[in-house]
Amino acid sequence: MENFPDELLVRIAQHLPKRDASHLSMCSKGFHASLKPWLAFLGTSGEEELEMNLRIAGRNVISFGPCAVSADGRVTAVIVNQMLGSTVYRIDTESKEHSTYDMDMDMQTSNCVEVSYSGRIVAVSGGSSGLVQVFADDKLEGNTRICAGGRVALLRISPDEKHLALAFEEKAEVLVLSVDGGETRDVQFGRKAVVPIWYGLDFTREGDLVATLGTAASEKVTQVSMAIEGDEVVMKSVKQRASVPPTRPQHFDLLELNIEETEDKAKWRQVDAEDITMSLSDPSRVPFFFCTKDGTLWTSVDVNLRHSGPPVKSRWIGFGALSRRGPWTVKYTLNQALPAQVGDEGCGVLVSVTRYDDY
Amino acid sequence: MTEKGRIVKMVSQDQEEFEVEYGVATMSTLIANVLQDVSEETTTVPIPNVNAQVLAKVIEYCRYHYEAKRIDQSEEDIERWNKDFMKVDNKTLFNILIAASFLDIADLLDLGCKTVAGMIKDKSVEQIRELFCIEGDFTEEQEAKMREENNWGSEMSQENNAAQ
Repeated sequence: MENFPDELLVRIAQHLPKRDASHLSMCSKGFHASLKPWLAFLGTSGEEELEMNLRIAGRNVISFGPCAVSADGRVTAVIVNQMLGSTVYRIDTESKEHSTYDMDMDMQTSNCVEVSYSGRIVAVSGGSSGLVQVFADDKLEGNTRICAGGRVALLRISPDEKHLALAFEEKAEVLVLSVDGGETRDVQFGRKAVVPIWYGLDFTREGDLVATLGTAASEKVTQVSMAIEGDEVVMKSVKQRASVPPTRPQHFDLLELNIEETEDKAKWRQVDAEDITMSLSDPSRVPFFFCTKDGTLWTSVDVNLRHSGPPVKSRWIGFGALSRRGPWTVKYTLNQALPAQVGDEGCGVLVSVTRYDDY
Repeated sequence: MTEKGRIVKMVSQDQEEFEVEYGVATMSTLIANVLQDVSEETTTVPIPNVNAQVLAKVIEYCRYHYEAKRIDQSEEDIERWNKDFMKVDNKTLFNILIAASFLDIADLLDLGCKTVAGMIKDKSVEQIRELFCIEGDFTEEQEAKMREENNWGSEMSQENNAAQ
């Protein structure tokens, strides 16, 4: 075991409680070096592991998709992809209860999920025609909206839980829907875009919408800010930055917050950007910017999260989601879970949700 | 040739050949990817990192699980079989783990890691070293510092008391 590959050692340690993992790391200098990051990860203050057994009705669980959390960290929603479609689980991490939503049959594969600040609303998108389903107040049946903009790329719920914002994979526009099923408002920009590349879309704490879009044609990143004022969506500003290569890149220069700025100046409008390199292969669902409840703007940088305070390291295992709680941000990771056959009842899947109160 | 009747020849590090049904062989993501990239006439896949003894065990695992899925074997039966399958000496167990990692067989890798973790659980540092024949290479000072850093004072004294 002395020459065991690092990754296997870590995988073994992942099945151990902290004390045993520490003992394993004490065995030799090599083990200690290999397991140090994992132990640091386990050493996070406020860590709470919530293991829940979820029984999935279908038999062919392919993978876990993205997940999202409410601002108070109580509600997690996760997409479970199965052979014949996907299911969204709503997990209450306090009561440890969960429910599944009845997805529209046309929504073959769900690709985006979002939980509102309070956890009351869960929105899911899926399908090639851009279906969105909104579930409210634990109701298992949601209202379905056809957005006809093609496959949804990004989905967000406003802090007041009245609006949904959507960006599409192949259409350079943002669609604003009202959560209660009322009128939709279509906000177009970047009309000349051939292949839009969405880098980010989110509501600020004040309810303004921020979006970043790159296009193959323009080779530019367009940053748009919009405000929902009454029934109107007002476009406030558009900035373009020439920093995107012509095709979807593996790496690109992202505009990062100036980390020297004090918190009160760190709202997105006052951000002075500097270039950094970021990998697009990171499967985390944290968008390139994400506004927490306290107004902090977060960006994801490779495997680290940065925000308008000092940069903090994040640790991803599988899919994760960042809540909007603010300085005490709660981040969840959803460990990869392997489906196991349980007779005629379907697949039993152990979902381990870990909550970190480490910021 | 249909995939159903297709036979894949896996060649171990020590040049032993194993004829395996396509469905069984492709439980390894690595092999599935290799077979996707080559023509249907290609039937031989060299496995240069795995010796015959370990490869035989890995194939045994894949064959059982392929069949278990096909006949809808009960979870209890599968668990029992897994438990028996993992009753091997430590060296073989570690080699199976490394092979599972190389061949990218997620279930086997997970099972192996859980088995090793189960052997480690509730053991002291010394007991783990002994179990896996690991030479401790920390100086006494380094070890003391690490214990302190990890705040194990109480735990260690409990262990020492137990040992005495």
